[in-house]
Amino acid sequence: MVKDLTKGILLMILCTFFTSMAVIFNKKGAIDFAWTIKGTIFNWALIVGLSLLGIGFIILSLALKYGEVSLLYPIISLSFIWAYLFSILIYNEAFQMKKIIAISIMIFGIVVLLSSKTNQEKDNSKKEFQKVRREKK
Amino acid sequence: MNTIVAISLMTIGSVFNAIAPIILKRNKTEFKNIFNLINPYFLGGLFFYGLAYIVTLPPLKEGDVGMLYPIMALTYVWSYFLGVVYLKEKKSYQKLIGVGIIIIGIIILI
Repeated sequence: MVKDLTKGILLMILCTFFTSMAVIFNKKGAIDFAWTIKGTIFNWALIVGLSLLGIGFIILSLALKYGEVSLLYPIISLSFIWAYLFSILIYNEAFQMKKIIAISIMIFGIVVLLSSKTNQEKDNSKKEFQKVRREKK
Repeated sequence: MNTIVAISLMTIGSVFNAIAPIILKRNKTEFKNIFNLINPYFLGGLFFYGLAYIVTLPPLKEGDVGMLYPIMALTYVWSYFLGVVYLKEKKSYQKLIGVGIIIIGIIILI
């Protein structure tokens, strides 16, 4: 059970890497964009960016199998931090403590918002609890 | 591009990103083979994801990723309200507090 959850968390973190890299490539693609064949259909950075988004989506759907959505899904907010750090490394954006603090506050907000359990999950955990109690008896 | 235009475009993108799963969730077609994907709900959801993608490209081109990309967090805020209105999901104080904290974070960021 615990092992499953660790797997889910690791997969979610992997997913955030893919989605944040996708943003970096999309930016590159947007810079290269032009109304020509090379700038649209064969824009390699946009193709890579879209593929990374797709791969991230597949990993996300795999990860959510390993635990409750309210626990795993908030991890997706890490992608905002990665995206900022990558853009500092790759696009030489200025490092500002203010931004890091703002993004951290936002991540906290996302965790508060998304970790609220859905009704179905509440039902499930209740059922599990009852099952455990019955087994003890 | 003006910063205000860039921020507005990112916000519009986050609205589209929030609308997409609402449409996808309304899909009641049973998934049996790949052709079941050709239905208005699935295609509509995909369309809005595509719109969100296209709308966010021009601001990302000129602006800082560190400032613009986190605005996509507004997606969760819209999702909450859209879920309550269109999917009749329950309101909750915890979620409202989360919404408030996200908005404070974005205000500090900008």
